[in-house]
Amino acid sequence: MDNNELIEKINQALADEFEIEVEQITPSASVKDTLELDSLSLVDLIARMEAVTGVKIPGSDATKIRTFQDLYDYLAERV
Amino acid sequence: MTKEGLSEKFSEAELSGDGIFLLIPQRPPMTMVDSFYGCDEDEACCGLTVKEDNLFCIGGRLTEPGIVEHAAQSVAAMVGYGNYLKNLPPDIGYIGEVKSFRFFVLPEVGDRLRTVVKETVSVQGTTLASAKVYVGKTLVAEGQIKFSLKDGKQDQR
Repeated sequence: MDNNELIEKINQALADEFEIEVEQITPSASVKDTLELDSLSLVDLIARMEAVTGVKIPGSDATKIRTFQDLYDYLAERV
Repeated sequence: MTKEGLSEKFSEAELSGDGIFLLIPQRPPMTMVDSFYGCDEDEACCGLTVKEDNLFCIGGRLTEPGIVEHAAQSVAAMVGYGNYLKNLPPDIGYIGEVKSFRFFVLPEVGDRLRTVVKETVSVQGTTLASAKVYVGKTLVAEGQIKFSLKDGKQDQR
């Protein structure tokens, strides 16, 4: 899977999970604001990313991910 | 009704009777777990015998909310086990969300539930866990529970 395919899979999974349009997800956008994340929904993000990529994001790392580009980079390095 | 294998690794109750109060804060008549069979890294097993006077029984059967409450208290027991090992009382927690629950059959009075809960993610005091509820080897319900500790306390395990 190349980087573009990975990003496409991530975006589609997030759009499905959080019921938003894929177009709302841009590399520089805030993950927290775009997905309206709170402490309850953060676990959904982590669980969905693990299901899609096989990468488990520890809570300590999850709180450091600000933008979707941060998320792509984090997962691409570990997938 | 679905038949599946139930893990054999939790064969004997580690805690039962009043001992269960070391793991969960609920008290009768809201206690929906009567046995704790053990816990490993991310999985635990709890039990409950369905009694006629159970608050969630109607017409001799445990209703869907009762099954969900049992599953949620099983998750709470898994989380509370960490406190128990440290001689701490169980924390107060809340059901944050019930997801993708499916019910295949409603257990009858006298049935023995055994429920395997498996942690999917735990972060910032919130645990997402899957639950599979069995009577014997029959899977009667399955789904996901999001369980959040009061004030976002971290899981003690």
